[in-house]
Amino acid sequence: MAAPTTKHAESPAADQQGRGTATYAELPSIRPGWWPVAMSSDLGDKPVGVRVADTNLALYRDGSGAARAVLDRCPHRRMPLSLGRITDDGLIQCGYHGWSFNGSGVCERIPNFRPGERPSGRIVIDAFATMEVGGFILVHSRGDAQASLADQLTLEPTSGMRDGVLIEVRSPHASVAEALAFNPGAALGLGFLLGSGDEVVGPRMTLEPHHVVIERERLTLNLPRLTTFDAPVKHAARSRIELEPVTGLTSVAAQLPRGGAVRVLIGATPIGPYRTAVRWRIAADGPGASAVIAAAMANCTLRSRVGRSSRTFEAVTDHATMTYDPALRFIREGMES
Amino acid sequence: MIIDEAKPDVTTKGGSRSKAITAGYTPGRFALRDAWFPVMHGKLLKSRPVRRAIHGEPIYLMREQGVAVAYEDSPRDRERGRFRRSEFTAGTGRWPTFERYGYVWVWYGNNDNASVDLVPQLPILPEKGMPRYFGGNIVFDCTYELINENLLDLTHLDYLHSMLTGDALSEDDEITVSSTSETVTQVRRATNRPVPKGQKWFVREARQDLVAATVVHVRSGVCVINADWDPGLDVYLVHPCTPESPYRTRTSYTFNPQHCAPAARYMFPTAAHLVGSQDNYAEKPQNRIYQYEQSAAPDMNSRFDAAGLRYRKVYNELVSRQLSGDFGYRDDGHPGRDIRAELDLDRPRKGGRNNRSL
Repeated sequence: MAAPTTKHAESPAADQQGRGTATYAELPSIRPGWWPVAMSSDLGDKPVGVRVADTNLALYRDGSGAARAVLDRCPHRRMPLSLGRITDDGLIQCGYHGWSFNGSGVCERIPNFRPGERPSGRIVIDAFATMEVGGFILVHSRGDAQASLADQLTLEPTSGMRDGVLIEVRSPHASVAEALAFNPGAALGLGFLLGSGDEVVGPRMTLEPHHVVIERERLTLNLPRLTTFDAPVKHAARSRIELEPVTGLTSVAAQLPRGGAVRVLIGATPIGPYRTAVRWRIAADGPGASAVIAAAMANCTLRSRVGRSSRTFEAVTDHATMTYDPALRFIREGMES
Repeated sequence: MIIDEAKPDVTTKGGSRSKAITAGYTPGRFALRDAWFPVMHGKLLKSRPVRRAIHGEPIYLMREQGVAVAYEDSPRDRERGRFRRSEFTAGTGRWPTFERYGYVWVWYGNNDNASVDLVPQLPILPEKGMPRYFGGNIVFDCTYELINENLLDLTHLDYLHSMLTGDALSEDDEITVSSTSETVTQVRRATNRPVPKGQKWFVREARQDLVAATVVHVRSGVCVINADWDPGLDVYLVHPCTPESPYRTRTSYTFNPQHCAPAARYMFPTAAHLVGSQDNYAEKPQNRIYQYEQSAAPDMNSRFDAAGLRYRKVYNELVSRQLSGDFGYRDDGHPGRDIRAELDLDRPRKGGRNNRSL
């Protein structure tokens, strides 16, 4: 297994002049936790704007290559910082007047200032605790950079991971998280790997300190049955779903028919009261691994080009909210307690 | 840059006053009234009706026997017997209109106060306007207050439009801000600036001086600019910001470049949409945040934002006056007053060729 690449951005300590924010900002409208907001591959040489619940964030890489997240609103004239640029020394610069901020949200430069003149220490923008793990950029909603919820999941990247196509699901985040616990294969169109049909044995649930483990065995193909006859294709896939139920950060592992394994990492980001962005990555090893990856990528690309790729995801979401499932009840009761 | 404020009561020093101005500032929420708005170029108006709007109120303009008229309803609606007849037309359905400086002006407010003396004076344009080539329309996706602030904002020029207007590397840079009850005036005097890329093909010298005077009529959004690059060209620009809605501002601009070769004189208006699109790139998302994401956090300011803060102060005072029922003009801010001196139109120039008058 490759070495873990969990990378925390350094905390925003005050600089030598005492300027700076003492703590990271919070996202009060969502529950405490590490929320996936983007893929690592999304961050290039330009800032990226993302939405988390009711807040817009600007993400970028600073001079050291660490992912940073700040409020996507310049404190000067409210221009989104994601429309700006990254300076050579790793500051995020507003595209309107050129005010530049470091990863702690402190304004470092204002154009037209005299040489040596520094901006007021009061000019700061909210900065958020970030972590990069498993190819995802995570933001902590309570500013706790030391929290290690995501570390509890099996999120270390496997070599040769590929990014799937972003899916915007028209469902609340909680329902999407339940759909990922209920039937991730059908939701992502990966039934031939993770299973998507009837469940042949009941789910087994295990409560870990910070997440839930669900083991399921589903028919790979979700084909219609003729009255009470058995399913026409009886091949089943066994999957192990590790789910952080608050944020919906999910890792699904399954065995391939000819040996080897497939891993899918899924992050669900609430981007509105009834809309969720689902980002996912896939890796496989063993015989036929490259063919498996190619089939998965072709399938998701085709689904995104022909019709809406979220259509089946939304169907699974609806099904999960209306059906009885011991694992979902287990999660709901756990969340309430 | 040195800021020399004629009225230092809006200074950012200490921060408390600027914070108070900024915290209560909500652009796009109030329709300032009793003003003439230049809704379109008169040369573009024929007998076929043209639709425009002021603060969301529809205006259908056309020529009847050569005279510009404006109705609240389209000709088809009037044929069907539909008449809006709002308070802005005193129940007649017909907006007060007037043509001057090549614009069709429409009065938005109480018709009893619609005196043509209140049309803003535009000393940089001939009474009959400029040839059609020197005008055009830019539609910004934001409320007009943001455009007016943008016009008074000099630091964004050095950053966003540096190719055309030059960068911040001036030997001396002095800014003066003054205001009346209706207008905000900013004058920038910069010396020995490097000639910007966009001017190099017709300015032989390496360095130039800049005097940029901007007068903004807060109520109507009309902005009058004299940007004099010396040696180089002197651009007279009328930049109306007509508020069509909180998300849309129409700028029916008119250029009148001076002291430059004919080619430059005719080329300069082509830059309008280049600069306009750069500004809209910032203002469209900015407008969304100002309109929808009102937060307790006021805007932060640097000492270069004095003119913008003065604009907000005058704007807030006008809103307060109109909320209390006072729609009149005070003597200091009369729109029809002579603003030649404010625009510094008569200053001696050291460079320039092919001097041209109106």
